[in-house]
Amino acid sequence: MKRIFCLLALILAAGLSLRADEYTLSDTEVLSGTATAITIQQTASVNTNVKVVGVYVYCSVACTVTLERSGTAATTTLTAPVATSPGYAATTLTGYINSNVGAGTVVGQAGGYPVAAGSYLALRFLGADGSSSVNLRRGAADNFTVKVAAISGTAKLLIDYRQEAN
Amino acid sequence: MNRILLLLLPCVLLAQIPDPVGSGGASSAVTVAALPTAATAVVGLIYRWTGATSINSCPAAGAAGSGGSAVALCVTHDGTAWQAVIEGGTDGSVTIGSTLSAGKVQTKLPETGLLADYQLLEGAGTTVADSSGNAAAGTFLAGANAPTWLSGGGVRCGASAVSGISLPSSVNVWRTFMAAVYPTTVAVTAPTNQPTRQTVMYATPSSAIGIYSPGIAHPNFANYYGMSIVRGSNGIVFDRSDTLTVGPHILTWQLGSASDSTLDTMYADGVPASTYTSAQGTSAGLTDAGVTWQLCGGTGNASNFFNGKIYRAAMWSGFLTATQVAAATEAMRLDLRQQGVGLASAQNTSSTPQLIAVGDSITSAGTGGTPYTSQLTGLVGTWTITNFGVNGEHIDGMIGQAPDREDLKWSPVAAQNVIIFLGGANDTGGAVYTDAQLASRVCVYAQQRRARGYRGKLLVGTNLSKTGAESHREALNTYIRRQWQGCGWDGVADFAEDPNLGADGAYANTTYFNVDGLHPKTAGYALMGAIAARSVNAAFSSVSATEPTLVTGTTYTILDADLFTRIDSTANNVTVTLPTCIGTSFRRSIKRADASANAVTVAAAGSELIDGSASITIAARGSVLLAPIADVPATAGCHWEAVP
Repeated sequence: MKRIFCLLALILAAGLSLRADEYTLSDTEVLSGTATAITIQQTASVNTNVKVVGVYVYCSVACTVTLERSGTAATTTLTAPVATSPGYAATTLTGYINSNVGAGTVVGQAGGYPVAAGSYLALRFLGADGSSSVNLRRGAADNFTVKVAAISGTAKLLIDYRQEAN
Repeated sequence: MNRILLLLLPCVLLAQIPDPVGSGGASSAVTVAALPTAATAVVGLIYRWTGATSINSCPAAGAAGSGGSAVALCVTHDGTAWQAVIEGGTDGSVTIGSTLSAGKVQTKLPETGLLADYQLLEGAGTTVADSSGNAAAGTFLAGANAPTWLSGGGVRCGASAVSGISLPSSVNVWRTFMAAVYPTTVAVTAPTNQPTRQTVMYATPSSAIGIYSPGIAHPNFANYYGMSIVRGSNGIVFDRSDTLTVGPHILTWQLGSASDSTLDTMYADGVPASTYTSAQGTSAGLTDAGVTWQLCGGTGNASNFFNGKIYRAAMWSGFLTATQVAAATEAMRLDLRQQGVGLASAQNTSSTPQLIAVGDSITSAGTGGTPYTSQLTGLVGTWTITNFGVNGEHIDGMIGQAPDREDLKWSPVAAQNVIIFLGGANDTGGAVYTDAQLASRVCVYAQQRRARGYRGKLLVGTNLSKTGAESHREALNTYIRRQWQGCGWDGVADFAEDPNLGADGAYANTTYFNVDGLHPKTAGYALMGAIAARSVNAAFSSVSATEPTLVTGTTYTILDADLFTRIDSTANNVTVTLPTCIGTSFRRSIKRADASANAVTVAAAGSELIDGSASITIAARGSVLLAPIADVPATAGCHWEAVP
């Protein structure tokens, strides 16, 4: 019985589906030999589960996209993420475009992802079971950033994430 | 995370308890040691007691030793099996626990004010047990009017003309009602002048709690339903929520009251309705004594019985807060999952190609006529076509619905999926967004589909002529034509390029438009359908630069899917005719492979032009890349241009 219960508890722990509200942070930049980045940042005092659903990056010219987490906190340029559904509560995360986030830990492909001119990169991290391979730490000013290395052209960036109610 | 920790804690706890299985479960004393301190504030004092194995319930929340507002943990034994329970705060308002019994984990709903909790697990008989402890059992209506039990839990309502479960008067004071429901169909006859309604709960003569169909006149009524609270004996006064995608949901209806300044409120899957199509009322008085509430609904009061499944239902005397509703919803969802009832709609796994149309009443043909999705003239292949058009829908509403709608409707195993998105008619010129911001939201729709893993084609439509909004919708269309590639769209279904649909003032032409100056007639939808079909055909072109369509005959009409054409004029002159440039964004690459003296001519269709001429020629071993270019928005139309 103990084993059964523990197994069930583990199953529940893994599969428990809390209410998850979804948000996007997006930006379009026309770059002239410069780089850009967007960041979603957890508020240290808020204990919420944040799962990155996926990212989208378009570049009009060939570019390299890097994903990083846990960089030195961003402070500019503050831009509010948008709730996917009007019924969702306001997100407790802050968003930054043209982010000044510091270097963090690279997520995914070392060296970044090359994107051909006029093409896009789309990565989904959310699994069918509702878990994500990219999560922000609870109760810490953790962050996740999508960076586009310096180019002369247009870049469109989007981060889609879920925030679970406590 | 807190909840996960709480669920794991009993593993630690039970590791210290002799397993009762095999011991008869009746003799051993139990000592529950304090658990190691967990690094989370919500875990306060862990119960410690010794006693017999016949403990059937946890100490009351808030009782001495329960540790303030912390979570209390206990184990119980019901004479057969061990159970572990994690209780909520001292006010009992939130219970996030689980009970283990015979291998089944159950959640508990918020206890404060809980009047009845019908888990519907009996499977047989005519009595519905109440697990709240309030002895509020329900009774099936007699004979053919009884619902039927479902294996695994739940009841099927509506199998007969009227099927119901009569509830005791003790529940009459309810103000919050929650039910996990799965309508079999929402397409029943509409009461006169009213949207179709089905009642999940019903009380004669003045109250009906349930769902409604957008209306049988709505061509997509089968894809959606909303929630409603009907008050008044004639059924005319009612609240309606925004619409949900057809499928299983956990719905909550709340009766507002002037006494506590609350309004009728509805939640779907724990999320409050974002809009109400009528003014929210205060219906608490409708739960007066003297009525008999009936689960599964009933007829009368401009309503019909509920036709579908109910997996669980509960009601509270209080007006639960949004947080409490969310918590109770998750508790019910978790419990149902243990029963094998999946309340999340599953991903489509059909191997048939899926064509999904998303939009507003222009897509649904919600004001009459045959929608364009039913007039896809020339569409190549066999498709399952789903029209998700919603009357009055805004672009943000389309973005909001997408994760639970088209993101589940497309099929990863189908060879072809396409979403045709047409939004903006209810947004252009509005106070919420500028034209540029609106274009950005259209962009986000596509970007988010990509980020969420959609692997099919995405086509974006341009907005039709609309009275009073020509400049704004033209501005939006211009943004769409400029930005579509960067947003992740595969192409444009450029409806507005057809002068009959998109020229300034086209809305006044009653051959194609209704007199409302906004919605096309069937003839207008037919034009849209042809454009959509051509765009889909081109999007799924099977030819490539390395495997182009080869032309050797004297004449050939380039097909929608012929994005790459190779001409060999060695034996004769060749003339190829382009498809119309109307409505498409796909470029055409035409290569002449030979160096013979024969002529190769590329002609435009009808009166369309290529670089200002009706036709062009291709020199020996030459090639041309032709792009369809929209003419000025005011006149609509298009032409072809050779591009580098």
